[in-house]
Amino acid sequence: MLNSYSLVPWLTLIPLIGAGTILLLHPRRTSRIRFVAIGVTVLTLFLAVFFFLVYKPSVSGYQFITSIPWVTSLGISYHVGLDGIGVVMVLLHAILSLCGAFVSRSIGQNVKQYFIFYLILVASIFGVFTSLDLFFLYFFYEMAVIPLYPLIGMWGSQNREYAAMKLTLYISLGAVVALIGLLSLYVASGLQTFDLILLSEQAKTQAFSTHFQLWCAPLLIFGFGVVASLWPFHSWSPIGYAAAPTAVSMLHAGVLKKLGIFIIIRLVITLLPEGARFWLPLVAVLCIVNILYGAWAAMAQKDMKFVIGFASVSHMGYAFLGIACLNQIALTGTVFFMFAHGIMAALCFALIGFIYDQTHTRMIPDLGGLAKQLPFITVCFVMAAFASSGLPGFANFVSEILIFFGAWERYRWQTILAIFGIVITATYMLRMVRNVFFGAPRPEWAKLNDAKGFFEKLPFGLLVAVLLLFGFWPSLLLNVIRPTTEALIEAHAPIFGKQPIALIEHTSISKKENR
Amino acid sequence: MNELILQSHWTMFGPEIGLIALILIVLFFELFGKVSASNILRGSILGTFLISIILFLVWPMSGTALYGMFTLNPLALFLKGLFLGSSILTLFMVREYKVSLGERSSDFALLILVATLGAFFLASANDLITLFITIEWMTISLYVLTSYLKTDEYALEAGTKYLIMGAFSSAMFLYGISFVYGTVGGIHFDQIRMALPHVQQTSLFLVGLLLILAGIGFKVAAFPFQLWVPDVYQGAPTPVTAFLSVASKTAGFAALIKILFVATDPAQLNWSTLIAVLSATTLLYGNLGALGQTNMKRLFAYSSIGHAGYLLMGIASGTQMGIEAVFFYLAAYAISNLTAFLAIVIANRELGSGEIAAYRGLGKKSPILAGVFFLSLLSLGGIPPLAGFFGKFLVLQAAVTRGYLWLAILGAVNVIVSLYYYLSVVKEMYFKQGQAAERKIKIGRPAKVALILLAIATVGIGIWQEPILYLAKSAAHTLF
Repeated sequence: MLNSYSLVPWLTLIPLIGAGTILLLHPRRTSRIRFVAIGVTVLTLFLAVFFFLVYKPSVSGYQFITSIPWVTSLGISYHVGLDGIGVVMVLLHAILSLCGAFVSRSIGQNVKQYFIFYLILVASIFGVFTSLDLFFLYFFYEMAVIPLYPLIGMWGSQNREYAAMKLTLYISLGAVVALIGLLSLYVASGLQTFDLILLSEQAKTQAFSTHFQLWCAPLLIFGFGVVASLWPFHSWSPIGYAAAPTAVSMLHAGVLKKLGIFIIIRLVITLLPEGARFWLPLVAVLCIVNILYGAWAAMAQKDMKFVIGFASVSHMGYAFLGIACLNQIALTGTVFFMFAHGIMAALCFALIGFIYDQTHTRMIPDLGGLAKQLPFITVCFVMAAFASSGLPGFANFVSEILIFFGAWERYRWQTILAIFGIVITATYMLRMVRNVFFGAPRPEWAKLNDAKGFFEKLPFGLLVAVLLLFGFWPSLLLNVIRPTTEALIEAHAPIFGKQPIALIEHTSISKKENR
Repeated sequence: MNELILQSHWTMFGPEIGLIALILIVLFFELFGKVSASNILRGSILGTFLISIILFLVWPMSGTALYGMFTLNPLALFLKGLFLGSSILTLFMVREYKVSLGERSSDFALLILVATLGAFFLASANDLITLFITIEWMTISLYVLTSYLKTDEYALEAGTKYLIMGAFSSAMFLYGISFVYGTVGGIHFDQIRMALPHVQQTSLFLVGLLLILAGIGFKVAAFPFQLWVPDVYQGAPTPVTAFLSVASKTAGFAALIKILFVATDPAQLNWSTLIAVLSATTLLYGNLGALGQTNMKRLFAYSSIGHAGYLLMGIASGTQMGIEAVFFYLAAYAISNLTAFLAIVIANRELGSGEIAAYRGLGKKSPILAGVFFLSLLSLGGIPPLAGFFGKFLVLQAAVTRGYLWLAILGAVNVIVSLYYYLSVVKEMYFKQGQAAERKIKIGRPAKVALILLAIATVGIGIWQEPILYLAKSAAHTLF
């Protein structure tokens, strides 16, 4: 394979170089360390926006490809590139890692180690989103899991040791089970390569045997489903989020969870279409448990972080429902949903972190009437609650409606139950808003400070702006995502079956762009 | 025997001759020179570095000598490199450990060099008797080393246990050789291999081979021959534990590979199901046994049994890919485990205890020590981007390719079990708060440099796997 170069590897390299730089700095120079971390995430955000703007949706296949042979005898190459899904996820991750770096100002001790682990986490997630090689995909995936252990265990709050261990072991267990699936793929293809493009081309022309697809697909779906908190593998998630420091909760709920869905789309739907068709209906049932059980559990929580933690378990159900449909509308909706939910969940965690830093409590009954002292935070939180409940005007609305339209034909009763889940979401989110921000002001919270100044407001404002921007102008994202998801589904159209009627006349758009 | 090439070119013995010379020099200075123990130790470390240069010079050579008893090929060279590396690091550990050894540390170094010499000949052994003698050579040095702390009850217990178990396993090995000799009429690997079509149905031959394998099973600490490991590892002086867990284990696997792939032919005589079952039980025993441990060295004893399970998994696959995986794994395991033991030697010296609970708050007391230890633990647990990850990856890949899916899944699940106990140590070092009076640990400059270099190597091998993989490949290639 020819070597080719692009800027994509720098998404991973810049944070790693940043981590190396911080390693050499003196632990006491905290402001310099923070400066490096924020500088690194600003640079990666620039890169991500650059890719988003330069990406050509009309060109099929991966773009910005870099390929460097790594271990030639095993067919491993450092092969990275972006498609319509990858470019969106990279943008999401870049936005959240910048906001996370800003929010990390509340970290007071062991700042040096914190930012080293944080930047390794950021780098590895970029690595997963860009990898076009199964080996490096797994490499970065596992590399992303491990920094979470010290990050939660050292800088976390309640029950941190238990939560860190549980989270790490759960996700790693899923990962190694999936690794066996990946290795079986390698062996079954007979191509002696881990290259995703070569493998998917073979899957198109000369598919893997049905028998193989049927046993390999569940290894990947459930192995990577753990990180996306598929019921019943979700129990690490609320505990983990409650214990984690704010920035880690943000990245984890916002991006890391999406890795599972992202990899299932990239591997199972692309390489194992028959396995997907066989197993995803089961996922469509489990995801309803996710949605309803998660929402129900969120209703019962008193800790704000637990509410959002269970809400994210619940919301991931929509993503699973979206991929289970195996049609273009729902798949497009899923990718959009991952973006929108990532921003929304991170916004919620950032806001809760802000409140917790001052009040040192996250228990809803202890709070109340904060709107008077924290008007800016209240506005942001209300926005997040609206977005979470799928109100029109926010990006979440567009994505959820797409998933429901796509799912209606294939999974009718699941769709009805999922829509009911939104009602529950609205209930607990609005109830939390009422109990925390409104009502009679309490004397003990009279001295709280609202977010002041540009830099303190930046992470919250940025996230709200992104939610609104893509809520009012969804085609900005949809035009990037749609050609990729369309190609994914069309590659195996005979297997995935009848397509529902296209909701939006998109063919004319892509034709225009082709000219 | 005429067809055997008689190419007794003395340069082939370069590394061995160098090592013998070094041993004689050390012995001379110890007896007649008025040199302090620490200088002798320094000299031996320098000497081993010089031998690594010799090893580098003989690298392109290959051939056989001494009527086919001694072979030099990429396999032997790879193993010699591993043995030399582990002996250099063990000597370095003795330097750090010497506080409790005093003037006797020079004898200690001498014995390690002698054991390494045995290992060097083992790497080149090409018949059963040489293999037996070289294993014994190593083991006898290790008997002495294990019970070197004459006043320590645990060390004496460890030494006695090791001696009895070792003698038992040697007897089995020797007994097995007699059966094989009786049926084949020769002890040379080539003779056995040639006679294989005629004898492979003979039950006496198979019993002989089985006894030999059992004898080796003790050396590599495979289930059900692993019972001696925890006590001996815990009781022995820490550098000896390191040497046992790396060099002695490597020697055992070298012998196993020689018996299964040189002396016999996996295509004709298929042991792979047996080895696969042994691998599974060894994995489970080691990793589950490690779960409840409170002593650091005992934890490492169990974890080293677990690692033997992964190595057996590669051998069970019986393919060239599997053996490559074993060699890469051995190299990655050697560097990670020796790094961990160097950290343990220093930490135990400074903390005054080998209990895991004593490591509480080490992250604060010495960030470098704790950091490097953390890294080596993750590498042993198989976390990218560290050396151990790629070893586990290759071994699992070999098992999946061979069709042992159940074994691969078991191995994968065991990664999580091992991660649990490795991370528990990390938890102790970083998450728990130590006593109020935090005392910073000062580490000497050489130790600091060594720790940092080892950490860089662990990360480097994990990211750029090609060089070690190339060596492992060329070593495995000589077998097929």
